[in-house]
Amino acid sequence: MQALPDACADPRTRPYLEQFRDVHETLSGAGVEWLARSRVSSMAHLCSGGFPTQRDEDWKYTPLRSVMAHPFSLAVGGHVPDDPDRYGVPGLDSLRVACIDGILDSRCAPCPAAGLSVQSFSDMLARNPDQLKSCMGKVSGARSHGFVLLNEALHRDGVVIEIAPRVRIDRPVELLMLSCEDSALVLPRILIIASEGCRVEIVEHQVSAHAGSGLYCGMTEMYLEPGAHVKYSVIQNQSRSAYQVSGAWAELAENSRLDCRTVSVGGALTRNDLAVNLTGPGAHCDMLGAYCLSGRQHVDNHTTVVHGAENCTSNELYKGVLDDRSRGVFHGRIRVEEGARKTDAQQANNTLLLSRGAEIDTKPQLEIYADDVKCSHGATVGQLDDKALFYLQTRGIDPAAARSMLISAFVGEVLQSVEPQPLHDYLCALLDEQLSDPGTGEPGP
Amino acid sequence: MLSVRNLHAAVEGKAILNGINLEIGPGQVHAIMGPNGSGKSTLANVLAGRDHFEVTAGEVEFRGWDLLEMEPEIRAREGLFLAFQYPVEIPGVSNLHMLKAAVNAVRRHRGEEELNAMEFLKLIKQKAALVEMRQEFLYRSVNEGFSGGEKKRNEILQMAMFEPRLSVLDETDSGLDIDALKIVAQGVNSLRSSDRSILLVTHYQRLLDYIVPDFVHVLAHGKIIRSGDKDLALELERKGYSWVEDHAGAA
Amino acid sequence: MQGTEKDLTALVQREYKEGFTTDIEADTLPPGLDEEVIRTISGKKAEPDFLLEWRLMAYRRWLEMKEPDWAQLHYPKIDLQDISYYSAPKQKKLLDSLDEVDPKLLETYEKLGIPLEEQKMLAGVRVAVDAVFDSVSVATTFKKTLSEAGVIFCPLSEAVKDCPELVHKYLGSVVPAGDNYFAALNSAVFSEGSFVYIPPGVRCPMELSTYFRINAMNTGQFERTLIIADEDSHVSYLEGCTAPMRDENQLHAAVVELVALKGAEIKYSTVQNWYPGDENGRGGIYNFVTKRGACKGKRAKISWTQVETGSAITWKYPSVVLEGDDSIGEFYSVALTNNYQQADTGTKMVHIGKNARSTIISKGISAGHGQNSYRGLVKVLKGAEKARNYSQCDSLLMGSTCGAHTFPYVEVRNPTAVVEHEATTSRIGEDQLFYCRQRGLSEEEAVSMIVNGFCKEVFKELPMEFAVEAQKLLGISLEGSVG
Ligand SMILES: Nc1ncnc2c1ncn2[C@@H]1O[C@H](COP(=O)(O)OP(=O)(O)O)[C@@H](O)[C@H]1O
Ligand SMILES: [Mg+2]
Repeated sequence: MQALPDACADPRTRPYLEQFRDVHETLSGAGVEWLARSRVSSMAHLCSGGFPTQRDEDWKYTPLRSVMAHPFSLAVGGHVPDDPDRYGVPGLDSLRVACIDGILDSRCAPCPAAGLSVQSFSDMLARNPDQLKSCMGKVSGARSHGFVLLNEALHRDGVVIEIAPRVRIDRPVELLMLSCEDSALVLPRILIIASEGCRVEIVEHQVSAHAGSGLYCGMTEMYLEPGAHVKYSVIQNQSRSAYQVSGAWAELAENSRLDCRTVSVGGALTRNDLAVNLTGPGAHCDMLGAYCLSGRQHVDNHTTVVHGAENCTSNELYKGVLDDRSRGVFHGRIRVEEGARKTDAQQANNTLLLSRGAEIDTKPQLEIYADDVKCSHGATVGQLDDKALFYLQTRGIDPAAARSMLISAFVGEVLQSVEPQPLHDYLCALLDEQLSDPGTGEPGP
Repeated sequence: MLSVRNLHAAVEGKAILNGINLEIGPGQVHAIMGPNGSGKSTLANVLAGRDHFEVTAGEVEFRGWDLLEMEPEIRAREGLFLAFQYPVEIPGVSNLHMLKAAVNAVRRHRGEEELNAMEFLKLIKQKAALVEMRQEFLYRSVNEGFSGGEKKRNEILQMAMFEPRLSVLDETDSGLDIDALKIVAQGVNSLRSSDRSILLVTHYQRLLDYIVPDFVHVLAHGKIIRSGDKDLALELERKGYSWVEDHAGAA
Repeated sequence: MQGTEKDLTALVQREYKEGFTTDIEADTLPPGLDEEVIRTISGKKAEPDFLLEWRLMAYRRWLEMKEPDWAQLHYPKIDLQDISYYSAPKQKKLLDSLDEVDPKLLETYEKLGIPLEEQKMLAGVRVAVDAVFDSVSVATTFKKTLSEAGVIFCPLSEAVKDCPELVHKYLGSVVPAGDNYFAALNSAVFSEGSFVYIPPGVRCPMELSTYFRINAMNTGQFERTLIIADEDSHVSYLEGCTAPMRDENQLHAAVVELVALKGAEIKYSTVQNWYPGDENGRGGIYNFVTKRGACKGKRAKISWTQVETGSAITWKYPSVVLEGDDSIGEFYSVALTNNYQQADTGTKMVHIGKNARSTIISKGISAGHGQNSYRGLVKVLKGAEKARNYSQCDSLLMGSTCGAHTFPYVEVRNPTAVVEHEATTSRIGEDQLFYCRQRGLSEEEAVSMIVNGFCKEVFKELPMEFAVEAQKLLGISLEGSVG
């Protein structure tokens, strides 16, 4: 087995190397050789390659100074709230599964739906590790950065969701990702295997039970078999002091469809990597995102969609509103491989800047190696339409209400297709709340 | 002029024309009518040489030539003109520029002297007046931002410029108001002569009040199921397409 | 559509017509670069001390820099020690009229299809040509008309002697010596280039033009152009390039600096047709250019228009720094890559002053195995009130082995800014092609017409005679010439 390094090229990795030394023999699946080896190798890579810096093109606009200012220690567990359910999406009739600081809550009832299996990652590693071997890190592997490696090395638990072929799960599965321990390092893993022709809606709901800090590095992997249809919504509503660097990777086989949506309102600094690989003909993916930030919040959405087969379509729309001294970053990459004929890929990022001191950095990219394609992207940055504001005022609406009406309508576009009404209402409420209460009230200069 | 024998055509493996027979003599005007999706546009496009459609059987002779062997531009230069049902927009290329290049390509092909800028302008202004098209349209990009009616009128202007032997008009009448319809009809009628032929594709009888056809054919499911004179169109108008289809089925 | 792809490819595969070498004896330094070489260059040109110091400073900065690798370009490493940094034709005397120019040179231009004679005849436009022939200017015409207007248009080396204070003040003021790897190299070793100064309130009486030509074997070209438009003046500058057919790759690392003071306007147009390499990707020019303009004063305007059809590698981002309030920056570009050509080109618009506006129109055409990238930055700084930017980047693909890429960066730090970026990628519509062919045009004519239409927004920004050149290069007929 590869030896652990003594030295760290990037000093910021040292505290994590030390933690690794202390705990790696007690981590889940410690007896599983391939996993132990992979953990050590990830740690070694982290030590040699380090965490990203702004000199890395992919991190140009996201300074990690605050995240790296002091090391976080791995959540110890046991900070279990009495009633995790009260953090759930109100009124949503869901199959709820709670992960407390990245660890599946054992009180979580076995899922009542036929054809749906929800298991704890560590249980699965204990019982049937080889089933995980083939898919863990398969899609994410090549593109890993320091935070991914940190998760690969130190993760303790998470959720494995499997949907049986041709099963249609009627109620949404709600993954309540609850942060309870102050200043903890939380490293959940989510694995979703959507078998042929199945249908499922999953809501990953990130909330903090405290107002403290913490570093959350989640890794989500999704495999969509032919004809599978997965709706995946991520709600990011952690504490205003929380840091998050998470990644989601999806592989879509022929005629499968993924509708993913990321709504970000909480957190101090959030970086989301989302990479979708369209590997089978006729696959389709919707990538929607809304971010509504204030104070000094920072959200970086880093998305990639690779068209690797014919007749695939992708449609990406990220919209955001930035107030106070908040900062939004959008990176959207569409890559069309040679031979991916009849590709239709659309992408847009639209941002409203509401105040002096707010900043948006947007970087849409097209890389196209096939000719029979229709691709486009657009980015706009601007303000509310004066004419629309005036129009509403002439109809008797006061300026503040008119403003918030228009802003809601602007980001609302991303929520239009959200189906269960309680989820839709909850998302709208989160955005509205964020808009009407200008954050922690850190005014601009 | 044109003789179509047992023409079969398919697109992406799906048969659309199932044995068309059609003889158009010099100076004749034929109308083809039929319900939506019966294959009228397909026939027009196959005649013009769109290789999206695959000819699976049959032959077409045009002025003694084997039409199916000819490239689309050669067909055009030999005098076959198609007024498109949905004229195509070409951003950045002015109408005037495209037409001049096209007219001179045709003239070169026929061994005629090319028109210089002045001669061409004179000719096109005269033809534009014929279809009552404002001159600003000449300077705009081909069909870009034209309304449906303007596009159709532009097609007729082009037809007038080329003075084709055989004009195939694919639903040039649809979407036109009555004044525009008269203008289009006038443009077509002014071309009528003993050595020019016209194939009108339409599904309304209305146009035929202005351009009186010598023959009327009814197309259904990719076949001509009935032919007659202009009275057939009137009868169709009264009784609807189901009438001929039933009739053909019974026969 | 069967056969279309092949035909399209054939269509854009026109042989390079400008491939030949002019045989003029050259005074050439042996290959290699060190401080001594720089001192020699400076000495040969009898430069003042400030310039030598500046070159040496640039050289020292350059030694610490790394060749950039972020562009979407792949090429073997360039051995900069294998290049000769100075080469001058023996004939050194400055001439007043074309009659005195070496007939061989005139013949060269004739063969290029851009003879000086023809330019003079064009629609009453007078064109002054400062021909840079392998690093040293050998012909300057129309000097008189220009000097009557107070315009200075001369080789940079002459300006260094005649108006050193202007050179001292502005050289490196827009593109600093250590700006980037290639600009630093240029600053250290630049051999020649053009200098333009337009006095306050003057509208330059003619369009200024320089034809660059890479000639002597293995001689890198390091031109440096400096254009200063003083308050409320106006100038239009044309640059066109061709190069002889060769097997070795040749490096070209030019720097162009534009300074527009209050109310001044500079229009800079380029048609670049350097040898692109053969259809197997052998040979061709490596073109690493730094072009930047600064709108220093209120209402200043800088407009870049480029038609890039040549070079094996193009690395070029003509930019505008909008310092003045109400200033305007524009970038219009057509870039065509065919065979194994690679282009990574675009612009930067940096909004600093208030109410500044910028427009970016970029048209990329890829054929064969060509790789065409647009890379651009629109940056709105905190104080740039009411900044406005509109960007449109379209790519046209011909054939399934080429690539088209778009990498725009938008950074906005002011809430009153309005920035819009749009990009599309598509291939020529089959229905458009068929429509044209139904009207009697051959497929070839139809393609060139559609491509021309695609580029029209850029071509209309070019001065007439350049538009003609551009049309030749793309093999398409000129729009709107009828009537
Ligand atoms: N490009 C195509 N691909 C597939 N089917 C087509 C295509 N063009 C036409 N068709 C089909 O062929 C049939 C005949 O169409 P068309 O000739 O346009 O009818 P008409 O002009 O008589 O309304 C229709 O069923 C239509 O859907
Ligand atoms: Mg039709």
